Amino acid sequence: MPTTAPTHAESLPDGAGAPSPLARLLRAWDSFWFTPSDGLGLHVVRACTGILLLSWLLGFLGHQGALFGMDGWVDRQAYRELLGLPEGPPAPIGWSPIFLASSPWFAHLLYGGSMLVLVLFTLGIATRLTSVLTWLVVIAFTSNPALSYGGDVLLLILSFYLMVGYLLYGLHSQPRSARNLLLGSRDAEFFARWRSSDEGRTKSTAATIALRLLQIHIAIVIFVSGLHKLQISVWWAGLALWFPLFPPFETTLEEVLAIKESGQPLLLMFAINIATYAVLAWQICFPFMAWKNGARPLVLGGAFLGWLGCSLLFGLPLFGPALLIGCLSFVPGTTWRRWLSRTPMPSETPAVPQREPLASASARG
Amino acid sequence: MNPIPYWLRGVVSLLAAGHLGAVAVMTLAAPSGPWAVAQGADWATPPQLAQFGAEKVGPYLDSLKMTHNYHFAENFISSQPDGGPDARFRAKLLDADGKTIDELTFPDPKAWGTVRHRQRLLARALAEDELVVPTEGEMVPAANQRVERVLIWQMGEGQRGAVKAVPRHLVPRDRPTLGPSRSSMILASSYARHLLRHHDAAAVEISRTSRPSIPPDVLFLDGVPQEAAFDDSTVTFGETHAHDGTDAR
Repeated sequence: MPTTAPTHAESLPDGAGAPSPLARLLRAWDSFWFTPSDGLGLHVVRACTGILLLSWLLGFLGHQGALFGMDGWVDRQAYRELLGLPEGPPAPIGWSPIFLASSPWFAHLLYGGSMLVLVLFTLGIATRLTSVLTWLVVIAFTSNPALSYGGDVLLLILSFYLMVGYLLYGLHSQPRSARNLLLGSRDAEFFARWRSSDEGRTKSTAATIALRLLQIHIAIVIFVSGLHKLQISVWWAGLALWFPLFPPFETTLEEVLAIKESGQPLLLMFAINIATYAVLAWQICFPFMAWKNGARPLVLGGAFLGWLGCSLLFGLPLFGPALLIGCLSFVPGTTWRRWLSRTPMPSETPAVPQREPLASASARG
Repeated sequence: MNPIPYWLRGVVSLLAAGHLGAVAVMTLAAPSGPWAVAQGADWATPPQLAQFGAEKVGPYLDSLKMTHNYHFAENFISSQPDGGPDARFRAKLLDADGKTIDELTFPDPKAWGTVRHRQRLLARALAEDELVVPTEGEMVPAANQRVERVLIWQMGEGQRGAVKAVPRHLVPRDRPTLGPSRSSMILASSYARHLLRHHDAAAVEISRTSRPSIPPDVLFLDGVPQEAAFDDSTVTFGETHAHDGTDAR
C-alpha cells in the first residue's frame, strides 16, 4: 500500500504525561508492523527468490515426469500406500496442484507453465497474480513425500510471504483501476523506480507487513533449528562438521589414520569444534541480533558462510541460498536504495553518445 | 493518502499474531529424541499443551503447507543420530529368464546436481531401518487367522542380506534385529515399477548399500580399529515383476 502518510506510530493517542508501558508497547507494535517502508526491500527479496526458484526448477529439466509425475519415482499406488500407513507418510502429503498430473504430458505442461510464471514473477510483472501462482508452483514441486527436505520448506516460506506482500501491495493507496487490482502495482517491475529520487512514491505498509512476517518466521526457523541441534549428540559435542568433512563413501580408514599419524588430530578437532559451535552460536543468537543494525554484517556474513557450508560441505543445494534470502529481508529498502545507487547501471551509460538538447548547446554558444 | 484505519490495523495485528503463534506452537509440539530406551532408541512425546495446540492449528497450517516444526532431519547429518551410515542403491534390470540386462546405480554420478541430490534423498529414505522387537513367548493366532509376520533383514555372508517375512515370535532374540521400514518397502517397490515402465525388463531388483561413518574417536584410539567395522552392508528389497504392480505396464 504505497503511501506518503507519516509514521502511524506518531499519530497514536497519547496521554498528557509520560506514556504508560502499555501505550509504549502499543506504539512499538504499531511502529513495527505499520510504518510504511521502501518497497524496494520487498522487490529485492522477490527478485532473489525468483532467481533461486528458477534455478531450482531448471535443475529438474528433463526429469520432471520422473520426479513429480504420478507414474514417476513415487507413483499413484505408492501415494495410496503411504497414506494408508499407521504412522503416516514420511512427510505430510496434503494437497498439491501436481496431483492433477494424471498423465506425463500434464506434468510437462505444468513444468513449462511454472517456468513461465517464475520468470514473470522474478521480473515483477503482474505480481498480484504471479505471486499467487508462484506459491502454487512451489507447493506443486515440493509435494513428493519421499523427495522433500528442509530446503523445500524454506522455499514455501519465502513464496508464501511474498504472495501476502504482493497481494496487498498498492491495494490501499494506488488508483483502483482494473489493471492495478488484478495484476498489481507496476512499482514492482524489475528496475522500475529503483533509482527514483522520490522515495515517498514507493513507501508501502504492505511491504512492511510482508517483510515483518517473513523476518519473524525466518528467525523462528533458525532459532528452533539451532535448539534442535543441541539435542543431537554430535552437535553438542562439537563434532557435527566431522561427518560431512569425511563422508562414508568418500573416506577410507587409511585416510583417517593418516591424519592421526600426521600428529595434527588435536588441531583438526579443535578447528571442527570451533566451527561447529560457531554455527550453533549464530543460530541461537539470531533472534537477538537480527533486528539490530550494528549486527547486520554478522547476520548477513553468517548467512553467506552458511550458504557455502550447506552447499559445499553438506551437499544441500537449497538450504543456504534460501536462508540467505531470508536474512536479506532484514535489510531495509532504504539501505538497498543506497547500495544500489552506488552501483552503476547499464541503462545509465548509453552505448551511443546522446545529442545535447538544442537549448543547452546554444546557451553555451 | 489516508493512513490505515485503526480497526484495520487491529485486524491485521490479530491475523499476524495468530498466524505466527500457530507456527510457534507447531515448533513446540515436536517430539524430542531419539533417546536410548530398553528397545533401542525412541522419541519422547512433545509437551501436552503444545500438542493440544498443534492439533488445533494443524489444519490451518496444513492448508498453507507450513506444518514443519523446523527440527530438520538434515541436522542429524547422515539422517542418523551419530552421523550414521550413508546409503546408495542399485537397480538390477532382469529379463524373463532372470538374467541381468542392466544395472543402474544411484545417486548417479552423471546426473545433474539437483537430480543427484534427490536420488540421495531417496537412497536415504530406503535406508531407514526399524528395530524389530520379538514377542515374549509363543504366539497363538485366533481361529482362521495367521500369526503376525514381520519383515526383517536376513543377513548372510559378507554383510549381504535380503528382506524376509518371519512370524514375529521367530525374530531372533540373541541380537538386535533390523528390518526395512514400511515406507522404505513402498518406495523401493514404487521405484522398481517406475523402472519397469521405462525399461524393457521383466523384473527389477532393488538393493541398498550402506556404509557407516568413521567416527572421530578413531583419531584418539590406542590401537587401529578393525577395518571390517566400516565395511559396506548390502541388502535387497526383493524383485518386483512387471505383472505385479498395478501400474506397471
